[in-house]
Amino acid sequence: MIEDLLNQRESSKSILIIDSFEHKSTNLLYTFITKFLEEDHLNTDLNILPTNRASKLRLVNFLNSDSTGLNEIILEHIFKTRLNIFKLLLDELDKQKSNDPKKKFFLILDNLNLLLRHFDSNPLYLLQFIKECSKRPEISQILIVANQDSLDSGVLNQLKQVFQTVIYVNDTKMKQNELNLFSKLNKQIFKYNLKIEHRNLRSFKVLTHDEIMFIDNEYTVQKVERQIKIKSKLKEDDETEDDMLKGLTFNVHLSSDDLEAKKNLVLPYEILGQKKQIVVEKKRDEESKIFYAPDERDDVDDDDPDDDLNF
Amino acid sequence: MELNTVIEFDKEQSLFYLIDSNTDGSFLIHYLIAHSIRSNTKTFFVTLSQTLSHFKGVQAKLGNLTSFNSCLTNGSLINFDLMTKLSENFLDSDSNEGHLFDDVYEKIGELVKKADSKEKFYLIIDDLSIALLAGVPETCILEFLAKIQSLNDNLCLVVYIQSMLSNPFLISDLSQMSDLYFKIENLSTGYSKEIDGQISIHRLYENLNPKIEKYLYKVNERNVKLFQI
Repeated sequence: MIEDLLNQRESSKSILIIDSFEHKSTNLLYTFITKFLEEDHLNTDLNILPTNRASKLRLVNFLNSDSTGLNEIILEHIFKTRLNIFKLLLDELDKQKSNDPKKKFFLILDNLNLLLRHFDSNPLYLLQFIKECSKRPEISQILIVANQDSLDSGVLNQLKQVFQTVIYVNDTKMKQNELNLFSKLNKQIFKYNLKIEHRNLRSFKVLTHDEIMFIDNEYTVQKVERQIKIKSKLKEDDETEDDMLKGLTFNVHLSSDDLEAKKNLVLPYEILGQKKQIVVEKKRDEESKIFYAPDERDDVDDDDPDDDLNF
Repeated sequence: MELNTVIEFDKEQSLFYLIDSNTDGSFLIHYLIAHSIRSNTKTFFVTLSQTLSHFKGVQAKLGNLTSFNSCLTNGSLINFDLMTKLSENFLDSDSNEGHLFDDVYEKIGELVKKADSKEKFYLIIDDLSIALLAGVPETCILEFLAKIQSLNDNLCLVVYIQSMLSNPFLISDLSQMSDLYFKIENLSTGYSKEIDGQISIHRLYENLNPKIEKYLYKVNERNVKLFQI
């Protein structure tokens, strides 16, 4: 799935990458950029929008001081002004589009957390912006990176709903066998354990993929392993259930006689709704009487207790 | 090994050092001041937790008192005493904590604009958690830092913050804005005479592989000893 997304074989209008301080997604983001730059995209402009100076300098370093694709409109205004930075960005894209109506844009925003902070942690502006981008035909794709360490889970859940694809970056630590696998390449390899939730717009299904991706220091995908977690999980569950039943000091298994008796047993809820039952109910209603046995201490009064109500 | 062999501040390319400490990590601030004095780098020093005389006393112990005083007089070390300003604001009912850093930004802006375009600066803030405790909104702090960073690409920001007194979300966001992140913690095994704590150094400037170096440290009278884990 990740390869399809990188190669644009699987179209996704909006992608959210969720990483953490321990498992940073910087290299994955750079792989997206590299893949885009490698291929010919007619009339599609790359717009990398850094949100802070450190990120900008890293991007300049990555792009080899060639600032092609770097758009500093957000960096110029974030925190410094109270303006709606998304509106400024969309206005700028509109201007560019007016010069060339066929122009399309690939937007990359490197830090969702700081964007939220600019709007006093109110996700409304960001939600509207993503929805607007999803509607606009000139925006071919928007990719945003969020750090889950400083995001409220409720806000994150809200944001996830508006993105077509959500990529979780989990384990990035290489195991010994994985290190051995790539030892001959003489390249630095980075591992990404990804969970991808992708909404297919044709079938409206949300497909979940668990994949392990290995990329090298030139941002080339070396290997992608697909993980089938559900089956293995089921197997594990079955085994544990058997193990639990093994060590018991009482019998929980049923013999053939027990099973026969169980089959013949009619439970009360099974009678409900049958005709017989309804007849019995009616008879009960007609013949019902109240038998009252007074207690020793009861003060039985023959007078009608509702006499004063003038019925 | 000594701290200056592990972190060579002269060669360091990072422009935002975040020192996140849950114990007393002020030794790193003293070390950086000593470095800026020796390298004769123009330094703006924003004090929120201690008075300038406290830092003078520490530098005197480190053998830098004369150069510290001369830096103060010749203007290569400029102190912004926000601790006094905070206490004044506390008594003034009309004060707005959101504007605490406004004067600092304006003065630094003037000085940076006058300077040579290649000149390097340090802005050391000790410590940001005091400003947060005094009621300065987090957005105002981020606004100040963003504005300062936009002044000059040679201005190196050093921010000291105590994790126990601050919102962890803010520290996480600041760490994303930083290039060099120091996390100073107590020893996980408990008190020790030989070791004061542990320090993790996250070099985020490198694109590909953000290295994490972990050391145990011991603060001595005149230096800081590090032991690699």
